[in-house]
Amino acid sequence: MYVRNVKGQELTFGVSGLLWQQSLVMIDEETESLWSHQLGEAMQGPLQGERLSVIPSLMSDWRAWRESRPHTSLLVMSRTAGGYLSRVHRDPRSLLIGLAEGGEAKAWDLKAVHQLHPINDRFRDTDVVVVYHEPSGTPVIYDRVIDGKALTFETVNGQLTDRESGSIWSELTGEALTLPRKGSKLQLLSGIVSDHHAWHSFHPNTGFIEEVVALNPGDDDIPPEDSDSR
Amino acid sequence: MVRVVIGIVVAVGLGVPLTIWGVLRIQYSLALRENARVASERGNPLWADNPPSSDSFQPTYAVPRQAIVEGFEILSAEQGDRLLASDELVIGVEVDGQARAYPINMLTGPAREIINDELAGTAIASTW
Repeated sequence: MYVRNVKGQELTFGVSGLLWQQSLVMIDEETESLWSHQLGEAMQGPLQGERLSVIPSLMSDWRAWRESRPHTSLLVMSRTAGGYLSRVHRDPRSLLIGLAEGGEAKAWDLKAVHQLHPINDRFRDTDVVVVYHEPSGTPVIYDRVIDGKALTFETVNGQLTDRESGSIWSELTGEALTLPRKGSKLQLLSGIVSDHHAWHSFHPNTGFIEEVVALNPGDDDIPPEDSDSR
Repeated sequence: MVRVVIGIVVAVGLGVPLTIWGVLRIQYSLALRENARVASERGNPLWADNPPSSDSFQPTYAVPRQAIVEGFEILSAEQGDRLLASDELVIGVEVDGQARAYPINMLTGPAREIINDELAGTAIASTW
């Protein structure tokens, strides 16, 4: 999801029909520049080098999204597919959730997220937490800094809880649901669910990619990994 | 008899792949021609003869240029409940406290790759 405004000009995007790194290339009607939809960057044309601002989004199922945002609207048209159901995330064959920014990228294998969540980690200079909403099988990444201090998350009695205050948090909205942190909200980051192959073709060998591989597949008793080394 | 069988096998073995290759080749040149036509209509020199490219950006032709997606509707959550199954995947965004869901089963395929929408006064491009 991008803001389609560049240098004060509103752009209208279409599908160019060109393919680059197995992903369709976007074109804007106003300048006919060609854009990588994965990178959000104009690769050729008058706007070459410009970048679109990312709007963080999350991929969830309708029930979970609807319950966490009761006033949501939705955009509809005729269906072109029927297979994108939440079980796609529950059976995360080769899927990952990743962050990419400024030429750096980091990704977490969904199988590992499923088993190890919440994963307290860092990406670039940001303390992040990768959480997982069990009922809908939704992975979400948040900035875990509140009031200038990084919180450490863990699962207590099945609830996403910060170790520092013991408050319970919503995996889907990032809001603290109980005191003492009630009213605080974690900032959603633009975690992208992708398959490994597509991700690696756009973010190849940067050295920042980290696949957290589950050590004992099927074993649910693995404690949450805390790779924050400070 | 044996010669006939061998002849048939060789003919099929060569003929089928050649035919498939030929058909693909024809489709490719038609797509190329269509893109060139669209390109010249739009006065886009980048597209006139070859796919644009640079050292880091070397796209290939895949499908004809697609029309801008129009004709979508914005519904309320209650209307959505009647239309969507609870386990259908959506991409959700929030802008200035307003939330919107994009059902992935409606955004699949090259013609739907990107949608120009607006939420809370912000022009957004929905893509995944």
